[in-house]
Amino acid sequence: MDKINFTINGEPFCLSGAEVSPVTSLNDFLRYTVQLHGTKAMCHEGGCGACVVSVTQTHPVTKEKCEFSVNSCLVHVLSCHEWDITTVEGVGNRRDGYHSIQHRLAAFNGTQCGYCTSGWVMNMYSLYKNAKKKLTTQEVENSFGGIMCRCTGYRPILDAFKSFANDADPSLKNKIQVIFEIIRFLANFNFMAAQQ
Amino acid sequence: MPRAQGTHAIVNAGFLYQLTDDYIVTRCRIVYGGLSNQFIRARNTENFLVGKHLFTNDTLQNALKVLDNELVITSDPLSASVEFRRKLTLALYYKGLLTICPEDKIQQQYRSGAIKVHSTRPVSSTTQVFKTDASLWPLNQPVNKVEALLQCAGEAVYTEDLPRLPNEMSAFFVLTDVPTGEIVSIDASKALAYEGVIAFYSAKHIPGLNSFTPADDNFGHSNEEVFCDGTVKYHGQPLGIVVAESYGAASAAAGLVEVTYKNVKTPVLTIEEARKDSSRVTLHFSAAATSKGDNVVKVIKSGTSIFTQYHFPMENMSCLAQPSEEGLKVHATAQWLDATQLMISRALNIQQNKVDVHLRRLGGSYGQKITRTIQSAVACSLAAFLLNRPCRLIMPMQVTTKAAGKRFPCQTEYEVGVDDSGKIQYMNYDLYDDNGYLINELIIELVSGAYNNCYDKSTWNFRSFNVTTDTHKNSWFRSPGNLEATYNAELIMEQIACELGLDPLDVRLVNIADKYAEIKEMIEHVRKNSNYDERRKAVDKFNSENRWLKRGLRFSTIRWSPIPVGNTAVNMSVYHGDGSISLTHGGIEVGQGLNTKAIQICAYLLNIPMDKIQVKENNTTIGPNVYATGASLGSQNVNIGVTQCCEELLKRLEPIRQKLTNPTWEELIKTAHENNVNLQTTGFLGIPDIKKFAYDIYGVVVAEVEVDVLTGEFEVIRVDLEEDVGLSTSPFIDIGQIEGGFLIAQGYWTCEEIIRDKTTGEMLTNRPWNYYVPLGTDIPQDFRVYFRENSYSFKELFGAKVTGEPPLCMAGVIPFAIREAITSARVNSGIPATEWFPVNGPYTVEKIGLAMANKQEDFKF
Repeated sequence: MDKINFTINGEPFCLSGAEVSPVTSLNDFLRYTVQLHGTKAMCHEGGCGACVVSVTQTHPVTKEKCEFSVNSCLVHVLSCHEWDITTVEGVGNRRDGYHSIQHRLAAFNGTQCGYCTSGWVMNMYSLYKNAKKKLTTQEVENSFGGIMCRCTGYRPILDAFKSFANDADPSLKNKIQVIFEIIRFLANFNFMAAQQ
Repeated sequence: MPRAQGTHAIVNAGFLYQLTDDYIVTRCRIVYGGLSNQFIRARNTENFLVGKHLFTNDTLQNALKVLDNELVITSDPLSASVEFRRKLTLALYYKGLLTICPEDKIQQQYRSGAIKVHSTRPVSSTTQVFKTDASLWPLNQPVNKVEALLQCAGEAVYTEDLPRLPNEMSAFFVLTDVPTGEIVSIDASKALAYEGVIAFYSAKHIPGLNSFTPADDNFGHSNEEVFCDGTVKYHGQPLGIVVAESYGAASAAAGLVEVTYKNVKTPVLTIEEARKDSSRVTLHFSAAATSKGDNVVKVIKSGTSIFTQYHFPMENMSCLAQPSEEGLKVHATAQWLDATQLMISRALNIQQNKVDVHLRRLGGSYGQKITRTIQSAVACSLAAFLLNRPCRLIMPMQVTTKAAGKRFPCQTEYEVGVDDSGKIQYMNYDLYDDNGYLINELIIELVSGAYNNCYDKSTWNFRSFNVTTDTHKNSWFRSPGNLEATYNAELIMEQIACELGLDPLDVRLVNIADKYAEIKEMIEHVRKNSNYDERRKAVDKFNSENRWLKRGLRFSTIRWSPIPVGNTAVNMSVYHGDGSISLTHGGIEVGQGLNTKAIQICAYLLNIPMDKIQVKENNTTIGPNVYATGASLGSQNVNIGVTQCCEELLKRLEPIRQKLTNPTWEELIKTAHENNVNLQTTGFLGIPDIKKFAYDIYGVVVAEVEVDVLTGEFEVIRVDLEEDVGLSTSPFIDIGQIEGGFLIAQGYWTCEEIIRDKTTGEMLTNRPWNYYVPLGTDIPQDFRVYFRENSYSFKELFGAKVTGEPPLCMAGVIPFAIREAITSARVNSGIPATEWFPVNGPYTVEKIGLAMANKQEDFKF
């Protein structure tokens, strides 16, 4: 194996090793080489969760594709061989449209300062894609022990993500509807007509 | 565990028993973690148990003795005390047995010991109750934060995200590693020899003033040095920076700078120690009682200590400074751009207009980045200035926790005489705030108006004192001053109730001042909504039936009044081509949603859609001389400025509007432009403008907790919280402030414990793996937030009140509820309920566990 091959948001990368230093993490590579600044970093030791990205890898034995999330600060870029890496920019963006995880998190007011947000989105994205069966609210709520948020008090984030579970409280689903109606109303509201 | 998830256990254990049909042990394995590297398997206990009936009280008691005797527990400053880990080890052995013992062999009251409170936690549920008035659209509507989708897609830009510049250098702080003393010499030769290192700078390289705080400010009156001037103030004080070609080289070489010191002394780290030296204590404020009651049935002499809290923003403090045509262009994670610009200009001895400071948004601050960030901005600017190259400085958490000040620790002492209803007849009450090494930002001044909370202070003699210690200069932290003032007033009510055997809510009610009587209506509302009276009985019943799980149900009531701190400026520009609007304002978007509120107000006043309005970045050219965003007032001040802008614009547009028939906004603006109307307006407000809007904010909260008596772990079962937000401009944003603010303070009162080395003063809790902020399953299982109904402040504020800080003052209810649970367990251990027990600082699992006063002989089936 003389080359390390991986993709980031579908774009192939091929490294011989000489391009990076012995300490270049996947996080450094994303932020400083590829200039994808959506993935953040704070503690650089896998404690805060701001740097989480999603990975698809073919299992070496079962050949099954599996989806998992990693702390990009803890992974050396040369250990990403045959990984398909998705960052928050690859999940959805203003050009291609946003993913429903992004839409719902925004709609539930799950962001305040926003610095942890891509970590939450990516952790949820992996959970969502890897779910063999429908998720339960309990599974969703117990899957975020590695991410911190200092602003929101977690409630709106967990509500947004629990709305993807099949046993979600009807009031949560109802809340989504109400919120999206407000957004639509706001977008279509003809202020001048209302004035007249 | 120190919190519900995402942490290492304090002590963990595994048990494997092979039993005969009549419960005789044939083989067993007992393993422990978290005690020491010499003790993992409890071999003596294993041997003792073989051949014994596992589920008899006799075997249990004897096994506990054997286990106790064979334990080897080593001290670890970052773990719980040896004493607590010993208790925990024995309790876990008992708990393990309860989980496997057939139910019919355990008395009913002991069965609760088998329950693990975190792993049986249900999925959380929440309710937010508020009313909106559609006629005010888009005001008072739960609109989305305008940046929300950008943040969810990583499209929102933060200071660290600015792409690396050609020729960019990296700077890294070098910190003192002694707590006090004099620097004899600094030898940077090894650091300078490290590959990629460009320079080392210390105090002597600063061409101007070695300070990062304006000494001529309303709240600050001292210069705080950027780099140590020779006399060490605390362990972890920045004494210089290493500048290198890369972050890796700068951080590695920072560890190679060799410093020699003399006259190093043991530091004074706490208020308690500092008070022994009168030169460290100064009276700040005193208020004498105006009356005294003569019906004293009980006198209580007591006090408490609470400690510091790390802000823990997810975005590290950072700065990018680059030479510009005029001087320096600086991007800094600053909550106060004006002071950042001012202190860079003073340090570099260049005019203020040669320094441009920019910021798009902050990734969290909670007050840290008001002044603490300026130190890194000045240091980084110094390197860029001296070397004429762009420089970036990023402060990792491991440096920030040591170098930068945090929440003010506080100590109180009081003597209070009460009648039999708990009404205070007289009180002599002293409060001490720990500034760190220097008295500068007068956070204690915020206590002066808040110390009595919502209570009648006419019988209170109150004094507040500034204290200095050999620690970092403490600083702003969301609800500074108010938090300790409110908590301590509430704690006094709790203690009165405890010692008189009264319901603490009744004690509060008899002490509430007439001036603040409207809070009683909110208390009734919460009492009803939370179903308090029934739940009160249910908790009492639960506690009488269970020995190893206890519940607590407590109220807290708060009054919070805004203090005006400084001025704000707003600029509004309307573009003639399409009528779209750019707003720039002096406020800093830290996540509190002030951009969204500004746009809502602007859209409402101009009657145009919100998406016509864009808020731009903040910088010192468009928002000069603007005070820090803080004291919860940022949004309110910006909104007043936006209103001024809109009113001025509408005035200018009116003559044009008269000439047109029902013009669209776009037509109106186009015509105005063609008629030479100035489409740029400004708003400005100073302290007198802000002072016009004085009001009180009330909050009432009731919380129920469940505590594991054997381990000290707890769950917050339910919180009902009502806050007076006035007529909310943006309900989702205000709910977010309440829920988030409450949890920050819940962390302060429970899992967030700062640990220093007692001899060197070194900050040991310096990373997310040893400083525990609450995580997603630490939140209340059932969290219900209500806005006070029919509340309205001033029409100039569209009825709104500020929301950012009051919720922090309400989280004291969590330790109060925990206290009730502990009290019930202590009663079972034979200690009277009326015996007050002091708990200083956060109610960590360890402190809760130790306060339980469990007796080993009570471990029974």
